[in-house]
Order: sequence, then C-alpha cells, then structure tokens
Amino acid sequence: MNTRKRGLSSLLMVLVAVLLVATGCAPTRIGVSWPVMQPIELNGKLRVLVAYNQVVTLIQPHNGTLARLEDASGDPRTDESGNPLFWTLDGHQYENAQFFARGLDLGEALYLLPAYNNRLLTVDMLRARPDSTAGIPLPAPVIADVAVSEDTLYVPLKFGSVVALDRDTYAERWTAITRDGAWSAPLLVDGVLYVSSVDHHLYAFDAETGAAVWEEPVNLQGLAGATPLYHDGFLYVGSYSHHVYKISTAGEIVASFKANNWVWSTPVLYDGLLYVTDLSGYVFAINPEDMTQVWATKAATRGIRPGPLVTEDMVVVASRDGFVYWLSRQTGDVLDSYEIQSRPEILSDLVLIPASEPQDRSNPENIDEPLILVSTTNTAHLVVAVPLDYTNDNFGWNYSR
Amino acid sequence: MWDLIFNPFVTLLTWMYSVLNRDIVLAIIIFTVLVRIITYPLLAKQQQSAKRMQELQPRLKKIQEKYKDDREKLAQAQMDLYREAGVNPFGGCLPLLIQFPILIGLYQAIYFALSNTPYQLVDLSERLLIPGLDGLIPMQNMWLGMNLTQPPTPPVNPAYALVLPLLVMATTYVQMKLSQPPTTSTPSDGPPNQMEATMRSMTTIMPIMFGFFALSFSVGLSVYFITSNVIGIVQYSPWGKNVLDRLFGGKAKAAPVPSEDDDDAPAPAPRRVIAANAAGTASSAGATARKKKKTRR
Repeated sequence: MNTRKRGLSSLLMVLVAVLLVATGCAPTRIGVSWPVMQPIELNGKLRVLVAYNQVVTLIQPHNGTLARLEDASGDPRTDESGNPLFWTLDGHQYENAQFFARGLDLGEALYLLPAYNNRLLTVDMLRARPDSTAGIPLPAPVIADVAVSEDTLYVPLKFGSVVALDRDTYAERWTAITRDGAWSAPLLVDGVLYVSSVDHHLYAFDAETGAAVWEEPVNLQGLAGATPLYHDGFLYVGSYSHHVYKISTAGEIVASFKANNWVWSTPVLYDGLLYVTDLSGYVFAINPEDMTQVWATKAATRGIRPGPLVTEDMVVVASRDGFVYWLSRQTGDVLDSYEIQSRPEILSDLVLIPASEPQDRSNPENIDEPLILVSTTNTAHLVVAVPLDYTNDNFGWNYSR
Repeated sequence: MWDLIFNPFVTLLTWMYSVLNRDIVLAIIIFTVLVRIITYPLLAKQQQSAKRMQELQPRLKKIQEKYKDDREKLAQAQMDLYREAGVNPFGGCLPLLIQFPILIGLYQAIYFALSNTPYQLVDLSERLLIPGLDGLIPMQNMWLGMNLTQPPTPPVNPAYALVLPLLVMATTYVQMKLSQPPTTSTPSDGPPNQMEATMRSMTTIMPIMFGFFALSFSVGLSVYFITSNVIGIVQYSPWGKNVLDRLFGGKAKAAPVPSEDDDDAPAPAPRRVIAANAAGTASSAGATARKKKKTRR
C-alpha cells in the first residue's frame, strides 16, 4: 500500500513536471488585445464605454461606478424585483463575442460595436442589447476601430483586408486586399483611405471604389500597428522598424525619425511639434518639418505602447511598468509619476475627461477637475482615474471588473 | 529571471528564421535539433544515473525488507550501498534541473515567435536582442495550408491538420518506450518496483496528454513536439546513442554496481560486475543489462 502511494505520488510529480514544461512554466500571453475606452454621451450624460474581452460596460466618469441602464426619458430600468439594472453587455450571450475596439455612434442611441467573432453588432444603448445576435457578418475578426464617411463604413479586418459597407444597409461596397491584416483604424482624408497594415506597408485606397491609389504601398520596414496622423499634406506613421515616417500623399517617404524601439501609436501633433512614444520607454518631441529631434526622454522603465496625451504644459504617458508619467512639454523633463496599484501593464490609449463646464457642485455627476483615464490589463484595475494636474494628490477612482 | 533564457532563445529563433529564407517550420525544426543536441550530455548523464538506480532496485528492496523496523539502519545501509556503487541517488536531478529551463525556454521561444495578436506581440519588443530582427515580425504563419498560430481543429485549420496530434501521440509513445530502462524484475520477483510501475503508467498517460496539448495548442507547437520526439527517439535508439556518445566523447566513468550478495558487508571489490559499467557508457550499460536479463531467462 505504501509503495503504491509512493508510486502514485511520483507519478503525480512527473505529470506536474511535464505539465510545467508543456505549458512553459512562465506567464504566457493568450489574449487578443487590450481594453479600449471611449467617452460617449447618452441621454445627455457623459459616460465612458469600456470594452475588453467579452464584456462591454458603461461607467460614470465622476466616480468610476457602473452606469445605470436608463430609458430614453432618463428613468432607470429595473428588473422584475424592482432592482436597478446596470449597463453591461456580455459577449457570452452573443456567440462569445469579444470586444477590443471603440463603437461607432450611428445616432438615435445606436452604436456599432466591432467584435472579434467576425461581426459588427448594432447595440441599442438604452437597452444594452444588440438588435440581433448574428449582427453583421464579416469575413474576419475586428480588433480596430471602424472609420466612417457620410455613407460608408470602413472596417479593418484582422486578416488581410478592409471592407467598405453601406452605412445604411451594411451591404458590401468593396473589399480592398492587403497582404496581412489591419490592427488600427483606417484614416480617411480627402476621399482616400489610408490603412496601416501588419504586412509592413501603408496602403492608400480610393474611398469610393477601393482601388489602390498608389502604384505600390509604402514599405515601412516593419509592422505598422497604428493609424497614421495627417497634417499639412503629409502622413506620419510609426512602425516596428523603430521609425516614424513622414510620407507624402503621393506615397513617397519624405523623411523619417529613428526611435529606440517599436513605435506602436499614432504621433500626436501639438503646437507645431510631434510627440511620439516607443516601446523602450522613450518619449520624443520631433519637428515635423524635417523629422529632427527636439528632445528625447527615457521616461519609463518599460515600453510605452499608447500614444501620449498632450496638453499646453505637459505630455502624459503610461507604460507597461504600471506607471503614469507627467513630462514637461517644453523640455521633456519628468515632472512626476503615479504608480497604479500592483503595477499592472498599461497598453491602452489614455483618455482625457475634461472638468464639467460650468462647474455645478450640486450635481452629483459634476467632474471637479480634468481626469486622465488609464486602462490596464488587470481587471482589478481595469480603469483608473488620476487627476491631470500632477500636483494634486487626490486619487481619482478605480473601476474593477 | 526567465527573460535571461527566453530572450536569447527568441532572438536565435528569429535570426534562424531570417537566414532560413523565412521558413518558420524549418527554423523550429533546426532550432529544436540544435538545442536537443547541445543538451544531450545532460540527458545522457541523467539516463545513466537512472539506469544505475534501476540496477540497484532489487538490492534496495532487500535492504528495505531487512531493516523495515529500523529506519536509522535502513538509511545507513542504503547510503552504504549508494556509496559502494558510486551512485548518487540525486545524481539524475541536476542534469534534469538544468534541462528544464532550457526546454521551457525552447517552448516559450516558439510560442513567442508564433505570436499573432497585438497582446502577444507587444512582449516581443523587449526580447529581440539583435537590431534589425524587428522587421521580421510577425513571422510567416502559414505552412502546407495550415495556420501555425491556430489549433489544428477545424474551422481555423483544415481537417488534415488533425494528423498532427496523432503524430504527436505516436512519437511520444515511441519515445517513452525507448527511453525506459530495461526492467530489472522478473514476474517471479513479485509486483514490479515503484519506478517501473511509474514508467509504465507514464508510457500510457504521456502520449494522451501530449495529444491533448497538440489538439488545444497551435499547430506550430505540434511541429515542435513532433520534432522534439523524433530527436528523442533518435537519441534513445542504440544507434543514435552510439553516434551521440562518440560525438560528445561520452565515456562516463562509473563504479561497478555491487552484487546482490554484498548487503551485509559491502566489499571494496565486488565479485560480480556488470561489464557495461566497466565499459562506462550509458548506452552500453543499457545494452548489457538487457543482455543479462536474457541470460537469466
């Protein structure tokens, strides 16, 4: 009996060892993407839509609590027992839909939510429910925002193409093939749709017909994971090749700036300068004319995936090291930092919530001062609000799921 | 800490991908072969230690029987036996412990290399140690009509991809069979000893487990499992052992295992010596043990 027990325990140990080897014995990343946040207005009230994995929620920006579900007149909806209902959309109920992209406001409290299970869901925001489980079928998953014109939706697909749909009927207008997928929203400028692709190229398509505008797409020498920025006749786009390229609308690389690692965010233009982050933890200020460096600061100990949030005096960035950093916009000096509890990885774009205008302290939803919303991959700190003013020691709030 | 192992591995695999004409499957195969060959001396040492422990099992059984009521004496007698045989009971652990992180690094490198979502890819930015490799990301992930980053199950992959889990199971089974040291007990000795029973169970369970892994993990990892198993089969086969032992000059010195009659008074010069241990290599030890058993029958 004793021998048998020992045999069993040995077997168990071996199996555990095998399991450890097979699963890598170290943290593996099996997720798709990171959370997205989107300020929206519903029934005249400011809300923040938070989409991550299978759940979409609306939270209240003044205190980070779940928003109540309300009808068109603003009255709270309740269940059969009279308990208030909260705004939550669970993708498990809709063929395991997952959400990693912002919604598109279709008007009349309808939002179009791109889902990872190859569909777009039209969501009635007053009921937190899609109009149909099937939604609008697509040939591939979507992990980026949909671009829109007056009559067309441009949907970037994770694998190999961009689909243009009629805005009213959702009928397909055209499909433009790229060699690999698009992980960022297309940019529509003057009837041309610019698409950054995983296949290392920037494409330009005629927004009406889907025909290629350039003879050859622009080779960016690395994966292009962010939407280009358009300014004054030029496109600015970062890539995994460690470069930010300045590209003419004719499809020529005019100049480039070399960062220290992958550039995975859209550059931000403010007061004549470009602000760029990279995945070595650097923040750069660049002259867009000749793409020369104005200043560079190693702000974080790990990479900075989201783009910077730029104000008149400050550049605010958030890093994979779990910190938010405030830098002087003029010099790039780090002014302050804020550690999110347990230092969760921050990969999502920051959102600035302005203070309520005018201030009304009697309104329970009044936002006293501008807030920065930071979203992390740790659901215990899914959204954290910190004051934009780093000298203010007041902690905002924490929303956990 | 893991990054010290993962990052060079990921970098090396990515570099191999670039020099092998961007063929990720070829890169995985060659990378796995290289790592397995480099770690072979550790494996051989571990095998040798396991074999010698196996050979001592009948004697240990006897000692356990003899001193079943006196733990102190039992421990002393066991230590004496180990000392006399020149066997360290934990001798197989160190090579195993060294191999573990290497195998984990290998697995993780392949896992990272096959990243195809933003969340997986963001990690690679800190792992490529050679400048210029970033331009290879993401790696080509289609092979023979299969998406290497997806499990082999339809609809994400064609039905024929299901052959891979079957191949994983089959190669795991063959490798397990070949890796088992020859049994030291005969049916007349009573029930098989603990180690043998464990090994037998593992031969059944491991192929099923790995088949299950192959079904749930990406096709690229199935390629790794199969490659790794085939290398294991070659390494454990007598031919492969001879070649590898010659390659690594593997003449491990091992003390002869004392005879079963020496329990009470361990003698400095044992009367019966297993010739293979005198020859010294792990492979010849196994072969001789098999021969010896045949003679008994």
